Amino acid sequence: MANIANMDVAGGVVRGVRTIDYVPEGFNHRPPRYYLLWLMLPAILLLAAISLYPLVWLVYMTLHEVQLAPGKSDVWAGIDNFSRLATDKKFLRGWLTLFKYSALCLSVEIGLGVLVAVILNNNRFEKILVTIFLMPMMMAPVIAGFLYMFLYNGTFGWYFWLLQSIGLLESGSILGNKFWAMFAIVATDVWQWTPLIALITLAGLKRVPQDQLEAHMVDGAGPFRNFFSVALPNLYPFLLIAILLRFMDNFRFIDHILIMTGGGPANATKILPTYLFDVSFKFFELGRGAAIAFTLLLLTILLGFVLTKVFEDPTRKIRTEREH
Amino acid sequence: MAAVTITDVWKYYGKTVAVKELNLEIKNNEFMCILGPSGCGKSSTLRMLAGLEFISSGDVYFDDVRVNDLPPRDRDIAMVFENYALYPHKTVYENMANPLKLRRTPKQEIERRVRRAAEILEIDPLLHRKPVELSGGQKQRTAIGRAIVREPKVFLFDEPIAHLDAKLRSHMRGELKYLQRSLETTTVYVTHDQLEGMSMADRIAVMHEGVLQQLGTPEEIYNRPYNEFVAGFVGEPPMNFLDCTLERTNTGVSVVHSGFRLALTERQADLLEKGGAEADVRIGTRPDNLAIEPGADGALEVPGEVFVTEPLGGDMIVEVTVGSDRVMAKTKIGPMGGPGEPCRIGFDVDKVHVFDKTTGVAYF
Amino acid sequence: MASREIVRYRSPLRSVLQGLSILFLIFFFVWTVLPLLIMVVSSFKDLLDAFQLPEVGDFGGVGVMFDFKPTGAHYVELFTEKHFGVYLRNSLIASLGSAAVSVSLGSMAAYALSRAEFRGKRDLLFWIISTRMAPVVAVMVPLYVIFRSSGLVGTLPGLILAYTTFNLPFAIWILKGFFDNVPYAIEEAAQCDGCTRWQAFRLIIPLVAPGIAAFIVLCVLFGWNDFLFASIIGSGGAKTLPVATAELVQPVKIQWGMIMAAGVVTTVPMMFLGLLIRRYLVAGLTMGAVRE
Repeated sequence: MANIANMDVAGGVVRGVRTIDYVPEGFNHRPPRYYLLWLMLPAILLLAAISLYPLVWLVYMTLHEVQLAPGKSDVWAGIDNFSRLATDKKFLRGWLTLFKYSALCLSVEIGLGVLVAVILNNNRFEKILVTIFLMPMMMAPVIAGFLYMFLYNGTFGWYFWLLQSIGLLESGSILGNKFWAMFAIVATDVWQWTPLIALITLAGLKRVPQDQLEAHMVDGAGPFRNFFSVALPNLYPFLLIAILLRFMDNFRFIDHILIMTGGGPANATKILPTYLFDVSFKFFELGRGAAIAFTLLLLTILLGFVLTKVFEDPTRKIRTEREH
Repeated sequence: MAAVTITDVWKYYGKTVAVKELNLEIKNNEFMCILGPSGCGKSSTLRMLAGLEFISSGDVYFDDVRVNDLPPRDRDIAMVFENYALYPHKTVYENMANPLKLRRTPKQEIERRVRRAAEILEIDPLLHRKPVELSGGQKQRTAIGRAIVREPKVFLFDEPIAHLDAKLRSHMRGELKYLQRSLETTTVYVTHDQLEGMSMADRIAVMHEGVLQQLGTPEEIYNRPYNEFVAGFVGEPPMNFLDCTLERTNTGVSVVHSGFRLALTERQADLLEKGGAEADVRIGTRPDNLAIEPGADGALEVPGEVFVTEPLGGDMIVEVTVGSDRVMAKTKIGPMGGPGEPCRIGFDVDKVHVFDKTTGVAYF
Repeated sequence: MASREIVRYRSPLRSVLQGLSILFLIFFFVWTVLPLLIMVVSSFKDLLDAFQLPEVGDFGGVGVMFDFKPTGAHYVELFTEKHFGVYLRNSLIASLGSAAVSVSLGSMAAYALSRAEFRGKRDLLFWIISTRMAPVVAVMVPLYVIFRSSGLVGTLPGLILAYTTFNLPFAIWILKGFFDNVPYAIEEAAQCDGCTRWQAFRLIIPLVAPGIAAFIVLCVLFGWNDFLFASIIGSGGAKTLPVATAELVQPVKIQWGMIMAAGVVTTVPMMFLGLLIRRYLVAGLTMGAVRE
């Protein structure tokens, strides 16, 4: 039955409410919403078939010597595929090269992208320039690879000519040079994807709270201080998302590397996924390939975990801010 | 047009309890207002009536039909949402026609009813517009229009005018009340704004923390609050509460405060005895029932000191320090002296409420 | 939601900065557009013209880039001798097919995921986004073996399925974000109006329709631009444009004119589509994390 208890409500202004502090036995539960399950099921089943089932296969393959020839059956290999990786110099170098490549791409892309965004923000030509800048993103990475290969060509490439003309390069070949090849590939990635960083930053800049900027200006801050102490902290979640996504794409897309250098010269551009491609689809050592793929997937899962955390936090805020 | 009966209804969200043992009978064609602060369970109650929330325990009847397991579409209700919930891709006309269309009403009938509803709500020139092209008030009228094109058993309003500006809100209060009286349909109206409840409802159910605190006409709620919560929630500016002690002498009973002593009437003394009041009590009195005059030597019995005055145009609110407490008094605007100046106040003893200090329940 | 203009006061420093930023913008513009321009121009040059360069250091001679007689020979050759018509069709079928499967199944799942609360939902979403982010090469290793044994290698259905490995999680994830932004109150209002739940779901479809259309386009784009899956799983019977372009590289000579022409054929439709869905592009490319 209803009884009365002393309760403090609304800062103690109002006391004394009727409360009920027992719980009845055996109340009903909300029925599960089965129709939502039915809507979900086809997609989930299909996705399981094309991602979970292959994952099981992948694990199976890492433990076997996989035979592709008909009639031959796979040979149990235990952890051989993995233990061989520990002494595989190319595998270890592949990781190093991947991180070097990503670090180069990301630092240049973030630097350029933020600069472009800051300059473009509230620029008279913002709309048209943004539209032009996003064109390279639409290009297939493999076509971009060909295009840059053409530009770097030692006899008729325009970029080769330009580098020669400004005295950076004497002769020889860009993609055949151990030092230049990495930069050449990074430049291709930078050309394609800097605009994306700029667009993300621009979206972030539009959401820097105007009142914070104004308060800071009234407090006596100049434009530089304003950028570093107000805009940048607000941009941080956007940049984090940009870095994570680009890093993942760096080992998702290797099309242009396969076309331009194939990982050469002397493995200078053989980032891990490229090595994986060679092992699996050039030498068809699928068991060993599976083991390498497995290590790559572990990194993906780790990054995916970080990404979902990031998505949960700042984006929630971004979205709810939009709604109100 | 139906009576709504809610018996022993509970609502759980996981382990949190939103509504506790609610019993409420809403009469046919009655305008019932469920009033309470946010999180008090009023919206959950309304949504259970609509069928948008499952009833954890207990029963809801529309007339004699148990509706617990009916989906919203089969309950014959119409609901107006807090954020209007208009279909953004449909015009005002299509929005209002939707419930009729779903019930396969003939086209001409739809046209006739929508036009009529639009005329009542004075939105007939806007019928071809989309919701984005409407102001807040117009959106709200459209949402009401969508509810009244049908003749549902029950209207459900979920804070429908909470997002309008103050002026429009007071205008809509009048309109909604008129509309409800002329349509003669049972209405359940949920709000946190006591003014809406007081001005429109036939009866008010005050809820807090999932529990029904008091059910009564606006007059009863205002003049005979069941407990401190109801007394403090209803009325603007809010009631003054003061900790006092009871002093029983052979001439009668008085309440004693550090700033004054107030002799209670015989009727009040009887009620206190019947309730078995202890020595420590709290008294409450509304700012309207406090008389005040400037200066130290007026006729009123209690001396005080002006803390601040808040002129409201015709009236003003004076905050006065009395003993160790501060009270608000509402009076006609006039000279009152600045902060720190002396004044005198007087209690209308018939309109003083006394509450139990521990339980908060009113003796009268 | 455009931000208001910030009041700017003139100062010498600001003028210098402004000059520098204009210079930088010009540099970035040239850097972005020049390769595209060279691709288009080169695709219309015959072999001799394409190899014309000014002398080293002769910056006045850049006009030589435009000094040529335009020829459509490369395009003609692509579509006659190299059968690019077939590859264009393959590309279209594979990317459209995968987009259709992904978005139709994905939108239902996305709606359900947006509206349902259940234990393990976070894990499910995590699995979905990880699948999208997995490197194509790594996914392809087991997929190749499975597809090989079931005869899907070298067929269009195989390629459609392969593209669905990244398009379906993309569609589910991003459309869930879209449905999250549709207030549930609208469906509740619809139910009060007399809709069944299925009717209420259909009622809000028009609200997300522009987004759904845009993400169909993005799924097409992802499939169309893919090279890895197409080169391994599509090899043989389901050759797409990027693979066919790569095959123009022959041991004896690289047919640059035709490669540039193929590049134009592959890129131009996607750029056009990209402009069409400009509003959704950033959301799409950031998995919905950033919206403009």
